[in-house]
Amino acid sequence: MKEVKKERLTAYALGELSPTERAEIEEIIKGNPELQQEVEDIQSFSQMLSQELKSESLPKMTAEARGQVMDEATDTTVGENSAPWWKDLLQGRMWSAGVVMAAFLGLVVFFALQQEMLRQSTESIEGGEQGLETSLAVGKDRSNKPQLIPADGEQVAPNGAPLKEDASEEAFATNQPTSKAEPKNSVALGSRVSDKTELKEFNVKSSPDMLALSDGAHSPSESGSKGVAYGSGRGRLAKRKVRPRSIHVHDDSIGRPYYQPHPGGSYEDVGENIFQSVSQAPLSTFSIDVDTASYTNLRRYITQSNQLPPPANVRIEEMINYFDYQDPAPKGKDPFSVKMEVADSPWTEGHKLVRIGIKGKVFPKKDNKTNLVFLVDVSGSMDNQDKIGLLKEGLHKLVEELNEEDHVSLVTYAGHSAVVLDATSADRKKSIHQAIDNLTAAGSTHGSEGIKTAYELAQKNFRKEGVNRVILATDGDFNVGTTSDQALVELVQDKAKKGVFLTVLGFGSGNLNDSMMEKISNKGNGNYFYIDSEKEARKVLVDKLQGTLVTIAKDVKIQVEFNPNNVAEYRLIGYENRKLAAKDFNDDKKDAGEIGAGHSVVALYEIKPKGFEAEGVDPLKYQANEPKTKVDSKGKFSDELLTVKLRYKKPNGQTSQLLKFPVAKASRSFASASADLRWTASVAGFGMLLKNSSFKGTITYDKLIQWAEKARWGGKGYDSERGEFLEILKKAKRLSGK
Amino acid sequence: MNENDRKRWVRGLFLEYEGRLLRYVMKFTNHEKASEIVQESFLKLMKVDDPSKLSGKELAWLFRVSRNRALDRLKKEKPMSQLKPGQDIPFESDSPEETLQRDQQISAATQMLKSLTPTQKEVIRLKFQEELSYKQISEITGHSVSHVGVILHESIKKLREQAQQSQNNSKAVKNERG
Repeated sequence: MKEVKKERLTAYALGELSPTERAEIEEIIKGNPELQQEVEDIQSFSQMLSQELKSESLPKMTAEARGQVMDEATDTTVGENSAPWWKDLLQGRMWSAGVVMAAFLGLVVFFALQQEMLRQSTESIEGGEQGLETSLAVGKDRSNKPQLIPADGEQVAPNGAPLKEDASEEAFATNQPTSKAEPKNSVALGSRVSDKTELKEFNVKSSPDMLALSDGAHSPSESGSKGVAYGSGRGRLAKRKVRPRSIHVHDDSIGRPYYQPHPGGSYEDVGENIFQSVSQAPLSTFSIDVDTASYTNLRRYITQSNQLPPPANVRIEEMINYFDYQDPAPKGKDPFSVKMEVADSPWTEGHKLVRIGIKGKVFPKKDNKTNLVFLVDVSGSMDNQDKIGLLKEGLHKLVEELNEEDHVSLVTYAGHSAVVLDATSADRKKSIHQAIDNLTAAGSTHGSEGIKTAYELAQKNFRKEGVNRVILATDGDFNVGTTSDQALVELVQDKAKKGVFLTVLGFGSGNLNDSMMEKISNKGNGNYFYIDSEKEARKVLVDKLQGTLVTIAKDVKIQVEFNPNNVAEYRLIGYENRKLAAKDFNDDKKDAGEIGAGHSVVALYEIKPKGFEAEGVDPLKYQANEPKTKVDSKGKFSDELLTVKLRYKKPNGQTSQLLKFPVAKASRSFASASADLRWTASVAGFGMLLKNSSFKGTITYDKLIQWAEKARWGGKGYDSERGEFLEILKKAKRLSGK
Repeated sequence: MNENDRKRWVRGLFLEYEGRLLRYVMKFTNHEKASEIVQESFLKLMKVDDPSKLSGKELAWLFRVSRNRALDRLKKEKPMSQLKPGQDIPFESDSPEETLQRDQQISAATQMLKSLTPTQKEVIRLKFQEELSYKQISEITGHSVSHVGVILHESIKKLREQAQQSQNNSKAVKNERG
């Protein structure tokens, strides 16, 4: 009997052989029932396999990617007008063709609006309850409180803003929903539609041309920022189809679905601060932090990846400090102003929130001559539009902001580092732009060499009365080779003492070494920004360039002493990895954070007033349980809640200066607190939900949305960042399934 | 083929194959990146010199271009240590975390193919999910036609043995109970 190779039999069973080969096999198996059975078995098994595999759902692309293909693949009309016909429709040029679509949209919008109005009416009912809830105010005797003057005569803002201003603002805020329910244009309408998943399903099911139309009508390029909301909504839908809820990693201890960080990403969990007893630890000491990377990063998770960020990745102080506040600008020679405010905690009855707001001074541009050294990671992993592409865009924009007084150097690093451009004056913009254009990503990273070269350049071109800064742009895929993390951190720290500061710009989502970046920038009197979009690149490198580059004070430390007569326990919200030992406060050798020009830095404490102390802690045996300070109810400190002490050095200074600000215990209800305090609380609350904080109290996404909506109009009108936060909050609510 | 004919041609292919192509590319990477890769493939299709040469081979062409693009990107994104030459392709890796990372559902099919190597999974999917021929699979993956035959034969053998075994197991359980 002739032999037949097994794989040829399989190929025969699957109909893969040519007629002559087939004839050969048939000749062989004719008299062999065993082989015939085998062929039949392979065929029936294959059929079963095929059925199973083909039942797997067909995904849809992200709205953005789809839009681009449809954009390219849609017929152009003859003549000048080369935009696809559905774009004409949007612009109102093709009314006749638009009639069907308009009717369709109208229907959709009608439902959308109905739902929206329903939602809002529920909200306003909740709003009423909220008002009652927060009305238990402690500081009833505000009017006869003496104004507190700090001991050393430094300026301190009075406790909060005038009540009148808040009242009018409150009224304005409550009016918002009504006006919001009347969309102003079709683009806004479109984006509202996108929130309704069931309606999007309807879109998807329509005919191919209709599909092209509905997708195109909301393409990001047409509708700007609204389009982004649409895009993510669509992505969410597409993903929902291929990623059923049931496969979410559901950890009961966390109580909600979330995703593990990317295997290559490294995020250190900093945990969260707990309540401290004032009698046992009356001092709370920390270094300020102006970084905002955690917020940009979580924004990327929620809007682009449709996931809640891993709790370890959430740093609440960075979320809070992402936003601008209306804290008063510094007066006179002070590099910054400090404002304090006390109000009821909206999430735990009886607790108070203390907001400490610091605002850095803004300098005129002409006062700053810069020596900037860009250290660009050109390793293979940067080869991506959202990495090197974004970076180049950003650098081009930044160069446009500079003038002949500013010097720019460019160092790349991959396998080895190279000086691409050495201290070129910014009046030679063309050569700088060219050097930026020529950046391409290839090779593996060797971070430490590059950093050394960059610092050498910065030192060589040091400008005594100017800004000296190394700007490291990387996705953080550091391969430090023989250099340890510690050695790298020490290098950065040492250079900062010599006046060269560090800015880290993080790109990409994959193997971003977040904790390493954070560590390096913390130690190096530096700042760390995460660039997730062109918009963010513009914000960091153009709009807030001064804040990014110009340091107005360094080693800024805060120490708060709580008055045991009025405070039982306190908790600093955020700043977990910025805590300092009490003795470090007066130790000028201990590094701390820096404040850039125009930066807002906010710290938020949650306190339990006297009478709310936790039970179960034994009284101290060797110390007096009663406060040591001789203050009775009529004593001179009885009105004080706490004292904020602040130390800072001038950018080139070696010795620190001390500021002291006592804070009165008088407090307001949450509803009548300043918009800045309410905004801070909303952002902090969001962070607490994302971290699943043990102290989140009664916070829910619905409450956060309600607080944030009322506080977003922070006195300066429309703030797109606050608007975006609300969108993120709403999406996070959906992602959390709550 | 004029400009508009070309656009119609690409649009037709896009509307027909988007889902299948994306489903395949998502075995390599996450939804967002896979979408970009599929998008790039169609934009590349728009620019091919002579579309008539591709006639009848469009699907295999799209799969091949997308596959190469996906592997290129993975090579660039992953640290060198994780993707050594000669190593199996990163197709439908079976660690649950990685599957989640790729926004991938754990379907019955995924479960069924669990015991196969990535190369085997890919060929099985191309054969039975996409119903492509040995020749098309060879064009897409770069394996020779006869090698595709060997991979398929071995994969089917493994899967059948596995099915047989679980059937025997359940019979054994029944017998014990009976």
